[in-house]
Amino acid sequence: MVHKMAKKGLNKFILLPLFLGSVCLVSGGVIAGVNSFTEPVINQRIIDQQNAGYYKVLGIDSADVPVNKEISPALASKGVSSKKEFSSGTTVIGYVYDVSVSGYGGKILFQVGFKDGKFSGFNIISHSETPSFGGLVLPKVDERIKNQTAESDVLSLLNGADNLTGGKSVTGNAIVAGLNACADDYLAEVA
Amino acid sequence: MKKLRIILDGAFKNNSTFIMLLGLCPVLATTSGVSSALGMGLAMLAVIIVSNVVVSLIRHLIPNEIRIPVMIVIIATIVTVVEMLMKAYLPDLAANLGVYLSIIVVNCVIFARAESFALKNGVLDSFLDAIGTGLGFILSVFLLGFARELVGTGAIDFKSFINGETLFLVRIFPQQYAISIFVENSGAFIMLGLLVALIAYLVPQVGAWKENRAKAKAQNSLKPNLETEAK
Repeated sequence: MVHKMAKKGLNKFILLPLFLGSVCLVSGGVIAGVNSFTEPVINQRIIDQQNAGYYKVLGIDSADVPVNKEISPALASKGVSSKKEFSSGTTVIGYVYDVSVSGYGGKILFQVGFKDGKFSGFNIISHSETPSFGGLVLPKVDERIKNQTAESDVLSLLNGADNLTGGKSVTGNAIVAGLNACADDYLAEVA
Repeated sequence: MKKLRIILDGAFKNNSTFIMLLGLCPVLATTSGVSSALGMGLAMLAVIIVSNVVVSLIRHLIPNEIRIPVMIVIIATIVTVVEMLMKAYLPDLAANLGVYLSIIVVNCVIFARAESFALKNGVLDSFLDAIGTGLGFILSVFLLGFARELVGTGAIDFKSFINGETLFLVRIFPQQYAISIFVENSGAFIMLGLLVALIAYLVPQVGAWKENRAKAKAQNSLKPNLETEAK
């Protein structure tokens, strides 16, 4: 088709990019179309996972409706998207942070909870880390930080005896930075 | 018969993994277990079918000078669509495959079939070629995943693609006798090497057996003619 048009005197330098551009346009349309019905499903799943995760990271079965606490711009710049205070009556049970940090394969969404001056739990919502590499770090974070004081050195807790984040520093550093930011904010909150 | 030959050639004679040794990165990375291997195989099958059919459909429109970027855009679009659908409806499988799902874009098997077959053949033949190549890939990753999981854990744990729950678990031998290196990255290279060596040994044997059988058939069919002539 392009060759026929070229024979008619149309410049190939214009026709070829135009053809490629139209292929890209159609591709973009297809992706946008599919995205329009998959994005709500993915977002809803994330919300469901987050809602189920709040109680899980605090290790509780029930609480009053959580209070959304204000996040400082400095905390938001470190990836914290929400901070919730959970109470039962007048007693504050703990705090849960929703965090989104940049790992090796994209965004890592997680929740971290604090209770009684300690890390009460860690929950991964979604990630795209390499399953047999950076992805190996994430399932072990919860057991390593749970019930450790919020002042602890997170990197040392994560690494433990087996140097868990060794060679996986992009994933490890992202998680550590997110956890440190939340721990600092929590300590300032309860101080 | 010719159509069946296209499928069989794609699956066995030109098997992308064991014969052509193409697209080995996802093969090595996603075969630590049968479930993730099958998931990768199915994703690959979906992408190669759609890419072959689309490229074949528009092959007369694609200018030769820009065929490569056009095919890359088409394949990237299909992979992105498959990835979005998987993340929405098969989240656990998408999480297991991780970044390897996205890098199907640069899988040379898909590009090779689009360039060498779909650009030169009709839609039906391209579809059948994609089916054959895709099934060959599934067979390869399944075989590798099965062997690695069996030797590495002593059991086959088949998980649901939707929620990651175990559908069935068959223990073949106690875990204490398992060689766990085979479910690690290094074990993937060792097991692939072993399987490629086994297949490289078996293929000439099968060829020779087929040749001998054909010769014997030809001799048997000549015998009655010779007997008739002698009479």
